[in-house]
Amino acid sequence: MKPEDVKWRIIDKPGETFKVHRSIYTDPEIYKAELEEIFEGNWIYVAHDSQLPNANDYFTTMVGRQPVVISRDDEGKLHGFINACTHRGAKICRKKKGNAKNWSCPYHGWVFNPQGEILDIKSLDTANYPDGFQKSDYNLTPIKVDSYAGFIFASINTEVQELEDHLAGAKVFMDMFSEQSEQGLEILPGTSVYTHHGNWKMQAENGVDGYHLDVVHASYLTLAGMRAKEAAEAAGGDNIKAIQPQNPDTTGGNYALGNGHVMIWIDIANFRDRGLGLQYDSLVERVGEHRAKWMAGRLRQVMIYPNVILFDGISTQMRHWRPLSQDETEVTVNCIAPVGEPAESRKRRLRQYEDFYGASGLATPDDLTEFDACQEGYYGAKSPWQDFDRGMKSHQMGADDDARSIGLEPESSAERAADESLYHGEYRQWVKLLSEGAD
Amino acid sequence: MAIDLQLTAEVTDFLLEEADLLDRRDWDSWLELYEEQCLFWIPAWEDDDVLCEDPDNEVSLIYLDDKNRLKDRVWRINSGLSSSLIRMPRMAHMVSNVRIKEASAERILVHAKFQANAYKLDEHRVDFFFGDYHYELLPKGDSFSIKTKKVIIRNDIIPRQLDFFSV
Ligand code: FES
Ligand SMILES: [Fe+2]
Repeated sequence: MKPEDVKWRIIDKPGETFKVHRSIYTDPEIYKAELEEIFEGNWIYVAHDSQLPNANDYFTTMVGRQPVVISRDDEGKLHGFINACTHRGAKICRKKKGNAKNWSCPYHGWVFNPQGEILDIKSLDTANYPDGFQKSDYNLTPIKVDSYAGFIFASINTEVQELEDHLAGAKVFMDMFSEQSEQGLEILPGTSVYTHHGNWKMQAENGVDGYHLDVVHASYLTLAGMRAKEAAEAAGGDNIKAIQPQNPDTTGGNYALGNGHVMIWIDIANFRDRGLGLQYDSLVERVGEHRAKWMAGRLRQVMIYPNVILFDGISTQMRHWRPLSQDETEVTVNCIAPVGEPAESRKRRLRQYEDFYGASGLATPDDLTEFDACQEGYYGAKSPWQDFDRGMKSHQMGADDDARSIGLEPESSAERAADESLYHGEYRQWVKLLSEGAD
Repeated sequence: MAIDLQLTAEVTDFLLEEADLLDRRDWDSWLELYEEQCLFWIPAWEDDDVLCEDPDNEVSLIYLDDKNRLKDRVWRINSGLSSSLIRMPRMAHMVSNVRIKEASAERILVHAKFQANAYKLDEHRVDFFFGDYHYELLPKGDSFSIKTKKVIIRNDIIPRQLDFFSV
């Protein structure tokens, strides 16, 4: 796809308007370019450290269309490979995760180690390979893997920029997230995968969309209020304590963090009901009042472009996705929690997680239904443009006071969580990647 | 072990009644089947063959340990405030392989298999979940009430929606 086939689909006139053409959600040519330049050209979130903690652990997943295996060697170093045998292409590691000193291909028995080196070719002595044959040419095909604050990313593109440069302003919030416990975070057992009709970019938009909250989640928010009232009147038990964020139309804020990463924040009225809120006083002692407020008292949803959101609000969730087609998306969700947190906090965190998140919770199915409805609407090609102008007049480039107070240098700041100006950061990156390729 | 045919037939009929109430969306009658202090639980899977059996430390797909939380979900359907619940799927639950695992005057433990078929009007698509029901029933008059319903979903990739009526 040529740059000029991409650029016209975004109208970016700072202070005036920011529009996207809805063909970006439906055009198969755009979808193909996104797979190449974004999902297979850039860094993609793949796993958390706690999912492969030990030497010789491996974890299999997909980057774009390509099967990959991430491994940890006996020195703790991470590696990543295309999960395909260099002999005739059979997937080598078949399970979601495991631990193995050697990987033996189930097809013809070639053996590799977790550093990707080929150890054995069955019956090499009788192979009659041609003279130029070099065993070492058959090591597994490496991809780029690195981690930051426990979050592991991979890139098919081995020329991609360094991970820390890519993460830009998101690092401030990744640190804040992982510092909830001095021992770091862990993914709790129990993964859920769900699928939905709707282009993947709606995942990247909706998790940082403050504007939809009180409409799409009206049933959840009303229930949260009813339960609180019921518990106050002692008419019934409430073991969950649904979380009640303040009004995103008038409070909170959002930031574009660079390289397409964006986040929203909103204060939580009953934050002391949260897993970390139950430990609030000791948290204040450890990190100080201001940082504790950001960590426990403020909903933060941080989208690291293009495929993962760190949720710290209703509970704590890692949500990442991959496109299945321009119309279908697959989402993987996990509850992530501070290592070593007290049993009472752990239980509260889990119940709040299950209550809201996931396709079996009280909120996510409503989001997914809207994605489905949007995807259908996007095919109404006679009505092709939409804008992200909400908040344009109050949106400022660079840091606001809240950003400065946590050492954040964002691309732009907005003073309400419901403002839509953060999407400018997302779509400027989209245009850049599709028209220039990844750095 | 001798099979109590009479009890098996009564329990089977009770499970089929629950399935039918769900298919007919008679939520109020469905709620009446449950004890006030009940548990409705769908554990998540950790790996191919590892189910998350420790709900205080591991994730469940649904874990409702109070009838009020079941009522929340019914309220959500009736409220009209949830767009995922406006066009409800047309459901048909199949329940079979009903076996009494333990029976006393206090409680009856039952295992059964299910397949719950959903026709989704939005997507023009058929989805289904299948798996196991593990019930703890209490004798109540000439019938039973549900103390615990644990549902093990064996095909756990969720197409958009999983709720109490989906299994
Ligand atoms: S494909 Fe792996 S050994 Fe032949
Ligand atoms: Fe939402």
